[in-house]
Amino acid sequence: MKRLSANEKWRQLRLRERREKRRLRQRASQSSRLAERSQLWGRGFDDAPEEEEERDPAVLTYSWPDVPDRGWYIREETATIKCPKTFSLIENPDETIEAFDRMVVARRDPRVREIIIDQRGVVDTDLCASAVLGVLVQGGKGQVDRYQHLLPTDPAARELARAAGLPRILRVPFADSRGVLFYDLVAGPPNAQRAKGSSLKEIEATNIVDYIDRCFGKYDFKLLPETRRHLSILITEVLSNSEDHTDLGAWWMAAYLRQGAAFGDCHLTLFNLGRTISESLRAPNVSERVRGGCEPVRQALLSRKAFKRGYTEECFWNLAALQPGVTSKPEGATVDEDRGTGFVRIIEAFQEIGVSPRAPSAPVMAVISGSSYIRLDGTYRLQDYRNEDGNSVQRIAFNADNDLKEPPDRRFVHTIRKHFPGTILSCRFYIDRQHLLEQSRHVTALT
Amino acid sequence: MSQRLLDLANYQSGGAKIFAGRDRGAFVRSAAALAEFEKSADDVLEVRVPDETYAVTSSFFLALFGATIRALGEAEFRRRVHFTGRPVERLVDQSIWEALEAQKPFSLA
Repeated sequence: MKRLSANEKWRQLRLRERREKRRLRQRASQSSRLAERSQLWGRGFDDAPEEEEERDPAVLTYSWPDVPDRGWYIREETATIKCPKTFSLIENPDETIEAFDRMVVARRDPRVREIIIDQRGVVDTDLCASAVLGVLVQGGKGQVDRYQHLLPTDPAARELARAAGLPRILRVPFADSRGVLFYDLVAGPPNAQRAKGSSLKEIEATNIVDYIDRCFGKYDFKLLPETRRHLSILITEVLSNSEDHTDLGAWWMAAYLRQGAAFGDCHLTLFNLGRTISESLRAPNVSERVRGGCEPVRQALLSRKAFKRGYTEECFWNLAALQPGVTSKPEGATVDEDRGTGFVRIIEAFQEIGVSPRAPSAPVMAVISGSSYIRLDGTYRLQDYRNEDGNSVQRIAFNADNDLKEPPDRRFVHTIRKHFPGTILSCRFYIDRQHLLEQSRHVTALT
Repeated sequence: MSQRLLDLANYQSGGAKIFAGRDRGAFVRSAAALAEFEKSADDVLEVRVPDETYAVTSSFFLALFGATIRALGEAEFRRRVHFTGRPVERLVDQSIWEALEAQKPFSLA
């Protein structure tokens, strides 16, 4: 046996002491964690179902692996996550994802015992950003002792943050949701398949469609059966993709309607952490017909050196996923009008019914997957396009010729600096009774 | 000749009004013994789609009936399988096309 030198013995002794101290500190913090958290967050935080406590850390640990650690915002045991002025994945994806990255780094750093979420400077926020942050907070329950949430100082942002922001996502008691019809954040547990009865995605898709119907009901309208059908198919498709394309098959969904006297402001978000759209469409098990069908367009773009910094192959695949019949499912249909286009058809429906002349902006949907961003706000729409075979097909290419072989308008399809490790779909629209009275394609007045 | 019944309401729970997913379609197919039905040339099948159903997705429908459509062919499928309740004609037409013609090439170009 090798004899250790005095120095080596001393070093090993120090190492053993340090390990023992760490073990004792972990044990002590575990016993005091629940009590401390109850003081800070109230009972709501601890009332979360047990199974979520076990699931979320694993999801987040697996799914956010490559965040560069630039821990400058970590001071001793406290990390401060400063949210940007526009804390929104639709309007400001880069800075918003940067805040998520910091949260992930802080949660992984064993030194960090307290995380301060500083939203004092936030002026504009939306549901999707709060929902993702909420999932990250929930996922860190076993690793961090305390969270502090500093609410926005701007009165409107503060009211929204209390009603539909982090407190509401985490269901803490001081959330004030008056005037807000909330669809609580639901998480699709991994591999939640019940063969005889309905699956969770079927149940939750039904619930969210009913919820949207209730939102219109607040303004004396209801969805037409055909719109309800399209919406149901879209949501189940997105949830199925989430289950199929993530390592653990998990997804999250939330929504709210902020009821104003003149019009309602509705947000809906669905997201997963796992493979991006681009990774899914390039996976070996994707139908060869689908991948092969996209290939000539990709080659045309490659030969013209159309892929540059602002429009990459990842963006191309994200855009391809919006086209009719393109699906990453191995058994996927190629011409099924309910697939692929469901996405675009629904946002087009919302762009017709979800308009309010009194609202600050038009209805909008953003799709962020990896480092690609697509914004649908009605500027470009699904249009008929005559393909090389002379057949008329529907396309949305985000350019004047509606041709996928041409690069899209960078204002609507572009790369972002940051990387979202999964796919997020975020939709904002309005419910204005006056506007709804003028059109009846997707909704009908309640009698 | 015997009349069989497949009531999709028996495969719903939790207030769901949507039928979605390949796994679920495959389960219903197995529970309804459709492979056996395909072999009994005289049998006809009534498929009851609950009236309050919001949507039946093509992945569910193809997992349930894709093999039957391929085994029987379009005419025989239409003769022996009847749908009642919520109308699903468009889905049936689309799925028959999908099940039988799915090898055709596809192009985004």
